[in-house]
Amino acid sequence: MDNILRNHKAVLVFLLPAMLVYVFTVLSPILWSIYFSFFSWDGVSDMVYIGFDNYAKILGGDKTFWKAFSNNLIYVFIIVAMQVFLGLLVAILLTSITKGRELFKTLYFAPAIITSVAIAQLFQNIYSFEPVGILNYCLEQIGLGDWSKPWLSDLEWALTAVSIPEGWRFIGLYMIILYTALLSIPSDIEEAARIDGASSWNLFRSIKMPLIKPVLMVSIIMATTGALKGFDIPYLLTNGGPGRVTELLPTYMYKTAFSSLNFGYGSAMAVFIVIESLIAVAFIRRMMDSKET
Amino acid sequence: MKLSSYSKAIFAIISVALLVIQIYPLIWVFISSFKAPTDFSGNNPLSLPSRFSFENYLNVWNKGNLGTYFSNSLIVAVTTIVLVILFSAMAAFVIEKMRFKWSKTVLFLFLCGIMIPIQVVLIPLFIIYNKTGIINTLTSLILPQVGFALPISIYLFVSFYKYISNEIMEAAVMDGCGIYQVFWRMIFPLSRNTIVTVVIMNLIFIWNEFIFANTFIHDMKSRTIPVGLMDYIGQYGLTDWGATFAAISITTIPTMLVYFIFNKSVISGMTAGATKG
Repeated sequence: MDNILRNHKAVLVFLLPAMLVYVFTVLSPILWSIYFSFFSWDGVSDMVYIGFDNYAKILGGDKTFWKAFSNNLIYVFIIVAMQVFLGLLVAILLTSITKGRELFKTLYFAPAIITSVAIAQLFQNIYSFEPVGILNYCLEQIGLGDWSKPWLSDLEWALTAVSIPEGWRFIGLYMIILYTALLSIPSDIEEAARIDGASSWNLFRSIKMPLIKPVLMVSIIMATTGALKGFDIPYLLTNGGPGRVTELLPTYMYKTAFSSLNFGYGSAMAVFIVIESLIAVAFIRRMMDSKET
Repeated sequence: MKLSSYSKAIFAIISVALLVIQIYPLIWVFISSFKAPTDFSGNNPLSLPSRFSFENYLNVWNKGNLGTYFSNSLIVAVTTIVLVILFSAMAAFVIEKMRFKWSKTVLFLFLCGIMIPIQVVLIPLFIIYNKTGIINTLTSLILPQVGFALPISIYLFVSFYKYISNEIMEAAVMDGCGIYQVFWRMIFPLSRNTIVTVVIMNLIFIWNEFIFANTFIHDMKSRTIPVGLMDYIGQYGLTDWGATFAAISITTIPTMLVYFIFNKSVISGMTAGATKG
């Protein structure tokens, strides 16, 4: 038995296909990105080694980069707030209804399975000003016609308008994760607290919240890393405009590489995005851990 | 939760309102796909079609290349999924069941992939594809999608294999099975449920994939559906909304069907990342 499981040739046969594709398409490109980030290169002429110049440019004074960075923070904040807090709210509501939970879950999750291109086109219509879109039409109908505006080209609102679709489409995903966590709380704990006279709010705050905290933390991490990678919908809705109001790091990186053909600088930004995601995860973990004590 | 009937009613109303916000926009796209072109310039976006018209669907069918996109998407999805299933089931078998010194390291290496943003591989792959001539082919989409699907799939297979006892493997070996037969005749068929989850989850991700398709494909002939949905944006950025909505409706029907038939697998697959926390 041992000999059979120790068969080195079989290990290779089983492992090699997965390893080869994974190394070629995921691991080695990361190393290539780091390598390219030390060069100035347009993809056609010779590569010029420039050391840390690309990183110096990021840290030094690329205003667009830092504008994109701060936009990204707002974008992430809106999305995490929508996905985790609305997701939690809906999950709690769901535990209170008695009939049709499965149907509710199935329908609520539906936007998550539709391609981002379709979602972007849908929201282009919702936000439309001329001809009047759903949002502006509804505002007019409830007497708030003054508020109607071309949301996607409004300097103040465009970033929020671009963030909402991405948040909206995955609320269902987090709702289900948190709902499952809420259901797994043993009912005798709840009953014991009831007998001791706990109100619904107290029950939720002091008993349910601490019990689902690990899942809540995973949800926040998932939503944050998901939002940091956010690309499709901002790219399709406004492509960073008007001006740089909705520019995010991924859209800026994409344009630098594939429109301006500045592969070196684009790679440096890509490396920055990876580091940023890793730091964000570490930061959230630390924050949640320190709250525990 | 035990609540009074009064607050129960309020909760029910809020739940329904939230459900409407979530689901109505999708229904609206479908309804609007039957509108006549003149209906779109009207003042009420929520109105029903003035007459029930199939014009948009005919337009999409005659003008667009939807048929080509459909078959491209299908080729990419089927090839990717077959490769992902084979590769991840085999790799997980080595990691979980075989006596292999570095299995922990290999698993760790694969799990790192869950954290890696897709954007970081775009530039290197674009350059390599350009040099090797893979650019503009369906292979350019299949390769990275297999790569990025492997981590979660391997994770799912590894967690399933933990439940397969070593005794039944030993029994099979006693009966004269070699290592390949143990895998193909026993372990692989036993993982049917995991296979279904991996297939369904990836089917939806791959069917909807946009960044790779937008970066690596410039030739109309190799375009997949998500990028093809932008075909109806004409000159000056004016979009033929009727045609766009009709195209969205047609291309979303397969995903919706899969979703409503297998919704348990879809949901458990897509939330798989969370359960390992």
